[in-house]
Amino acid sequence: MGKYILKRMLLMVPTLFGAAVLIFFLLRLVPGDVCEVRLAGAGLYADPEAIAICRENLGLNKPLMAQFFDFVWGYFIFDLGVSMWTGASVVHEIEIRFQLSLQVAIMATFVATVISIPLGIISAVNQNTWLDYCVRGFAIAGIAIPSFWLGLIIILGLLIITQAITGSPWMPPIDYKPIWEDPVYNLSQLIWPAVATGYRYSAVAVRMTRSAMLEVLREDYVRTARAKGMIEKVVINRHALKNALLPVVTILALEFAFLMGGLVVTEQVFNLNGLGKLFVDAVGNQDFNLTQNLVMLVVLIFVLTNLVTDVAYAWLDPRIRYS
Amino acid sequence: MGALLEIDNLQTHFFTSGGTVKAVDGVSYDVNAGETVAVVGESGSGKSVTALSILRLIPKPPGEIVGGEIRFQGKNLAFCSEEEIRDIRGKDISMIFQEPMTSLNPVLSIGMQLTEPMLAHLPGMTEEAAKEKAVKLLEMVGINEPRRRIDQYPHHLSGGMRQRVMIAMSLACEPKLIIADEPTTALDVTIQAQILELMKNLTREMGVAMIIITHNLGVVARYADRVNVMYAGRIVETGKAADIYHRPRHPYTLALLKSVPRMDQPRQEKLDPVEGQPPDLTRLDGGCSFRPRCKFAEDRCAKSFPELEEMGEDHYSACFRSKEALSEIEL
Repeated sequence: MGKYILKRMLLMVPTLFGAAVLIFFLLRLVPGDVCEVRLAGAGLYADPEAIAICRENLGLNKPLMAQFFDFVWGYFIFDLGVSMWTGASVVHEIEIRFQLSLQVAIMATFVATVISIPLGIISAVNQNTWLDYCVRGFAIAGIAIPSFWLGLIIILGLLIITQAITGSPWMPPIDYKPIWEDPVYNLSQLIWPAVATGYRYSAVAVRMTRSAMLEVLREDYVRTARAKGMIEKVVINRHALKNALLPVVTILALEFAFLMGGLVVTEQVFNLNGLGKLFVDAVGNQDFNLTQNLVMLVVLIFVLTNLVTDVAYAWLDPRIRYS
Repeated sequence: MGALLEIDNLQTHFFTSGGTVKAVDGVSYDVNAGETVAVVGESGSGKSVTALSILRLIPKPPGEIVGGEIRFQGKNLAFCSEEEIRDIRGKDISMIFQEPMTSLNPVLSIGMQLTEPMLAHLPGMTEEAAKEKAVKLLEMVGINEPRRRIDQYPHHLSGGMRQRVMIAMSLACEPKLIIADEPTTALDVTIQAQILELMKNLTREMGVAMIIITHNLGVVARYADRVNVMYAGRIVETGKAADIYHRPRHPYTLALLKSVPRMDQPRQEKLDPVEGQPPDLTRLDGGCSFRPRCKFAEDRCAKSFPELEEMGEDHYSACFRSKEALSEIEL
């Protein structure tokens, strides 16, 4: 197993390098750069000399290959440079938002898992009964409802309900405190975006769990388990579920990776300062350096999530473990 | 003393969009303690459905036991509660399935799958004791290095070995009856004999009764005490194995016997297959269902279904022309 993980880690290097090449050159295909955006952003006249100086300062006038080398070399000397827009270090810009995004992603994945696996099982076991139809309706609604809209409804609902109960409206806090500083405050802020996005992502996973379970429940070994006189709970949880989980784990893991950088609108709705918003700002400002590093971060998360998924596969399925 | 298991006029139907499939339509037979009973027939004759009905393992919907009784030690299994049947499954009656490659759970260890029924059914059984017993069972069914095997998974074992594990599993709680649903069909011919021999020896030693479902008449001749021949959801002939083999009375049994090569007979020029197809079970009429394929068919066969008639001691055949069928063959 250790050897397998090591091999997978080594395979990450070419993947990351490929991503670096792609993002670096794609960004520079777009006309303009951060200096033009800053000095002539609003369509004003800009002094070409000022732009040239700005480029000089940021190293944008160097040959492309030299810039690319600097970018990649930065990872070897642990110097990711500064944001071309704010001048603050890239590490700092990402650091303050990463924590929040990671926490929301973990919580949303948790919500999705807690909703999807039990509901998927219930739906499969009671196939084509009213219970199944309810669960499927709930899942379809989750796919159909955009999570930002659900977010708005949640905030609105909170305001109305707290108003009705306590007499004064309450709304989730809008500034972030790390969970170890003030867990209650932190959770009362982040639970809502986690529920809004988690519900949406659970929808796909519910359907996946349901269809995987339906398939597994028809397998011969499930009949064997019943023929051995196992109670239904054991048949479902021990014999069927473990076999049905593989595709569900894949879906949940991919969603987790996506949540790390993809929550742009939900972050806006809940006024969260996360990676999604940083991403949009960085692209809008043509902040090459910050954008590149954000993309590399997301790629790294995807690759690592995939690795963790594969390890989870091996844990779930002995056939993968030994081959 | 009554029989261990009495199946009386069992009817199991499948309600499908294409109509009601009368997979089992009025089957009756007994199994005495320690006895091996074979159920023979073509694919789709209802032999597996009868077996699955005994343990109520018919997927519902679409299948359902609609009538009849299955009495096991005084209890009617066909209509007892879910808890009662669960207590019997794996403990008093266990089952071996046709496909060893898919009948074991790929993600659970052999040891886990073997100890599971013991822990569920035998009061006071500890995990260590169950594990010890699992090792003994594996040894008994001829698996080498049983102590290492119980930590392995099904994909480490060949088909024959998996079927041995299934047999070990079926013996785990020392049942009174084992139902083996085509236990060797999916195996190599060389392994088939080994597995059958093993099952025969173990059931004899332990005094366990067995229902063996097969379409292989060679199996019947060698291992069964009594034989039930099924066709289109009904038993058409029943009797001692020797009688069925040497003095078949029903045209279908006769045709079946003629369709397989026999070592105890002079070599024929060529085999004589049963012509035609088994009937569509959604469209059975009141007459004998074998008549379209039967050499002996006559007008009255279309009018009513012949009842089982006594042909000799403990030998019954459901054909109007049973006597002529016998004279037809030179066995």
